[in-house]
Amino acid sequence: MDGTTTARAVAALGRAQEALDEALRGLAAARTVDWVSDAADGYRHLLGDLELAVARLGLELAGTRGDVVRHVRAADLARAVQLAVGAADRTGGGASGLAVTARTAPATAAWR
Amino acid sequence: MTAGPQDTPLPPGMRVRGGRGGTQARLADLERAAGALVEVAVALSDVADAAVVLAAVVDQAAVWSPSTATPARLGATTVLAGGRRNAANARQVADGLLRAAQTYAAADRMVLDGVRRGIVLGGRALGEAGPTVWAATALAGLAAGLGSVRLLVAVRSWQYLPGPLGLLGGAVSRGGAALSRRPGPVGGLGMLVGGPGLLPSDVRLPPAAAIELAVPGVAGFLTGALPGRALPVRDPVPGAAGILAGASGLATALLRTPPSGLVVTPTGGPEPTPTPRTLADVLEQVDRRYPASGAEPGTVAILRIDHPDGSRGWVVAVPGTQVGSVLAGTNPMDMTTNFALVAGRPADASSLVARSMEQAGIAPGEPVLLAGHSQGGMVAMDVAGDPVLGRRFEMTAVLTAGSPVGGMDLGPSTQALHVEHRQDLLPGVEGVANPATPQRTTVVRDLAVSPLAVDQDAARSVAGAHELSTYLRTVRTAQGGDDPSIRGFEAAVGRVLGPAGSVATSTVYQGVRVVG
Repeated sequence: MDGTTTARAVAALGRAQEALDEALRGLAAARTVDWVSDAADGYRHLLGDLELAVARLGLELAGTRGDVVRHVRAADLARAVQLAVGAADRTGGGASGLAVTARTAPATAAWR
Repeated sequence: MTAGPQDTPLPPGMRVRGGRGGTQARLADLERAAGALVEVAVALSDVADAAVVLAAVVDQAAVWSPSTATPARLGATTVLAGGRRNAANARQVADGLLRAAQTYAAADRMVLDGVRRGIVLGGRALGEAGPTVWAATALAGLAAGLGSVRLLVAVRSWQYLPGPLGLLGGAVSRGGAALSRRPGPVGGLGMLVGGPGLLPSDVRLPPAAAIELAVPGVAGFLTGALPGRALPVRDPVPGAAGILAGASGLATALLRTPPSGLVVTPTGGPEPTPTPRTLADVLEQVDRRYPASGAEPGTVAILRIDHPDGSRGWVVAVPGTQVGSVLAGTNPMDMTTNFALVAGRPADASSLVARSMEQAGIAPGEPVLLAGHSQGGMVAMDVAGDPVLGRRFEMTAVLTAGSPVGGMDLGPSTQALHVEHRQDLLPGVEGVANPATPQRTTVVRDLAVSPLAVDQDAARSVAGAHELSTYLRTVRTAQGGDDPSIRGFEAAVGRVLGPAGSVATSTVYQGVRVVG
């Protein structure tokens, strides 16, 4: 665990979004079929289901983004606090460590 | 696959195969869609892979913030599962599409290939069997023919009998007469049994498609009948045409002085000519090249079309066979050229066109439309499909009328429209149906069901159905409609003819074989 947790999470979310956009472009290309018959109607029905499912996945990804970012930022902050407390303890300032905790606690709570 | 409800119906008796709206184009569409769906599946797998990384990051972060981990972990897991599930669905739909496309394509190929192979093998076996079996087969065929005529006379005589058989005969006669106006075999059968008299007053010619199937059998017979043994081939027609070309060359050498070369010279123009705007206008340029229209024998016309924006297009007009003799003479538009073209050998008429194009100064990249009637269509296809000439000239489109060109190939960027009549047997003499690829469109018209009396008259003979004037009427009927394949071809031709305001200049070139 290092200080770039948020960056790693945001990068993973970005890759997921890019791939999802690519999938949506592919679905649009798959729809442009100049084909008319009962079988084609069946195909378009299946494609419609798939488009709906991928759109739902997009919504789920958007919803997940908020939860994940809130979580990793809170974790990064908690870790930063812990590091600061450790540093203060090592320099013999137990009181200063307590002061740091008191300053960052509201910020941590804000991410929840 | 069926025509879409948005398509405007074609004129009666007209059928369009291949081209942009044809089955293969639609199969290609399906394959493209399946390819797009495979890409979708890959992209959705990437979503799932990104969610795996996300879940790992969330788990690592949970040590520092356990209370915020649960919704984040749930979200990452949901995205992971959704990505994988939808990727699998996309793959399944893509597989289904590919299977459907392959089934259509295989069914298309299987039926005709099987029938054709059977006919070739049957013809070859008969040829190899020798004169005794040939005579016996000819007698059996004659007997079957006479038996059919007897049966027909018997059925037609029922209408003149009293009692129930007479009533049945009357019904058959009236029903047959009503069906006789229909296209296809039903109409042909109706014509045979319908109407008064013991023999039908009119008989419908066999369709060109039947000739297409019969010719490989005859070619198989010819190659099988030759002395010695040869390996069976899938398509014996070029080989048989090669035999005829060899025989013609031998006969020319024995009976005449064989030609030693070809001279191509400009004999008319350049002079202004009405700018072609439609497919029929282009075919009219071909019509002007026949000696019956006042042209010198063995000539082709090259039209330079100057577009208003300064660009140029070119139309090459090639007439059909002008000399029926199988001995080579001075006019390259003769039967020896027909044999050579079907056999896939170099033909003098093709050399005439290629050299005329060089002399006309067609620059690389300038779009060229080659149009021809009968042999002229074969020549146009031969030149357009030549890979060497294809590097030198931009072969944009080929228009053929009544030409046997099913076995001739084209480059991938050339669009072709082949116009045929059901009663014109000549397009079938190559024994191969035109490929129904996205770049090649075939329009087949049954002249017998045309509302025009002149077309119905033309339907009564092969010569009438093969005449260029008949093809001109068909092209006028077909052009400018809503059919997607014809429209696609017209779009390609439009690049050559240019917009309104384009100006055409015609130069005529004559090819003369040097004898001696």
